[in-house]
Amino acid sequence: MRMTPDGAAVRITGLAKSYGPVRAVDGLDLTIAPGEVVALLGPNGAGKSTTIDALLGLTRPDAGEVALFGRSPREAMSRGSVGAMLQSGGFPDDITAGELVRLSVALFPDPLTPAEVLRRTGIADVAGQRFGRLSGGQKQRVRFAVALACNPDLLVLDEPTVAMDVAARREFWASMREFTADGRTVLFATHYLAEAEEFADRVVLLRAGRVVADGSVAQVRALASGRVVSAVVPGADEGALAALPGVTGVAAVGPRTRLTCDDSDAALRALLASHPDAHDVEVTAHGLEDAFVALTAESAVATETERV
Amino acid sequence: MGVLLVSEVRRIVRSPRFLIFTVGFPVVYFLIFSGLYATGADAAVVTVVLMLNMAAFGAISAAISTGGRVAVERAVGWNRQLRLTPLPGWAYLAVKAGVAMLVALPALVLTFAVAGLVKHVDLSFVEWLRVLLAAWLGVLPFAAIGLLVGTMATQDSAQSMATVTMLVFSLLGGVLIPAEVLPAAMVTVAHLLPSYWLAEVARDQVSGGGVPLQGVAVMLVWLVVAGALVAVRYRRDALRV
Repeated sequence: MRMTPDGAAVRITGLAKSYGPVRAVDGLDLTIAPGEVVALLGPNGAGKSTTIDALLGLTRPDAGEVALFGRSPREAMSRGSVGAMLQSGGFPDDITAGELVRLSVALFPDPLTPAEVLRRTGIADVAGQRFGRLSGGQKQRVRFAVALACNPDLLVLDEPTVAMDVAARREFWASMREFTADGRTVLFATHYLAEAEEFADRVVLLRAGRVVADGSVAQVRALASGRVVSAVVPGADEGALAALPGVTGVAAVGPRTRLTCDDSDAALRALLASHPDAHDVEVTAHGLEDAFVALTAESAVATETERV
Repeated sequence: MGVLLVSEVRRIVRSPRFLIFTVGFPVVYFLIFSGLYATGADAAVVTVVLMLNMAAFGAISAAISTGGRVAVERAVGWNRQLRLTPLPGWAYLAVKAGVAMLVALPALVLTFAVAGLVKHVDLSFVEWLRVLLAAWLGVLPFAAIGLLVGTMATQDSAQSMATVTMLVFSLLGGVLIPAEVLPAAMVTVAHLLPSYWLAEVARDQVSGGGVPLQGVAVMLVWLVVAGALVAVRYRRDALRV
């Protein structure tokens, strides 16, 4: 781990960036300590990509500061402290995976060896193939290999497992675990909430260019408070169910009825009393997905950041 | 930068189109044209002129099509990817210009070799060297012009823009049609083009004519102006994203 003048791997303060009338990022603050694995979540257009671009010095913010290990993004990049895997970053079709890795290694001051990069990312068997002829999942792994080549202290990944199948995704996160085991920092944007839930120490939820929730997975999940009672209810009437004590929402999901509750105990008692033939009852806590939907919905109050 | 240069050259050499268009065409054209026109008393002189013009044509098309590839790389995001490395933007452009110069060499060398071996063009070693050097340095403005095409064109238009640019310079510069048969006004135009001087300066190395200052000046102006425009375009491109 390299010394960091101000102790933070990432420090973003007051970041703002507009594209014409659209405020892509609107006064965003984010500090990431070394060693944290942080998931950046948010619906499309929430400002994830713009934040990542500004973080990497690929776009010039209208306002605000970005520091990586206390340095400017460009400087951190030149020192090889930051590896990035971009959705928009592309490689020519006619360059082979092996050439890409060797080239990436050669451009940085303190890199991994090409053999190490190929091994860690599992692309040794396709090293001789041209980038344009690889499958979507293989291309993602090559992108990961290029990001890893500089032996970075901070990895920034934009939708890293898109186009990967389930097995490839598992392998990818396994190699990521190997990478973070020695205390390196990862910031990844993803659409797969299960990945955030499983791999991130911390979740940062963006909406309309601002941070609307920031905390551990459990903390953010708890923001969408309450539980879900789900059961098969013969002759279910949505109006009557919604009127039960402790129930805040009713939805029919296939043969089952899903009751969103702020007091699941009261709701469950009332449900069984009023519908004695209700069966296959399940009571579950909200998942990250429920929190995501609740916190990023258009109707959600965006002005107040949920401090947890 | 060296590794980038090597990988760029390997990528180009891997494409069969490159070999056919930039190395094959000039050699075949030279053989056909010299068979048709290099007859009679001035056959030897005509052969040398054709050799230089066809070599120039191949070198120009190699340099411009190399630069045109930048458009494709911009479209796929390769420049963006390289901006995540310590490599500065000017180094990317410098490597591209270097690649253009390198891939122009085979067209020159092979056309000269065929002319010497098959058509018995008889020059001294020093003359060959001077001709080669003069022609090669004359490719420099086209490395810059190719980059300009690459930074202006889109992925879809790059190929045709590169072809048109190459043809305009070759035709108006008297490389494909000898400037001597052009109308007077066209000759004036030709004298303002780097393609005309590429072949002309090389020819002067055979006839012992030294280095015409006007030619050097014209080529330098094209090099500097095209290079400056490339820098401006590239900067604007990088700031936009």
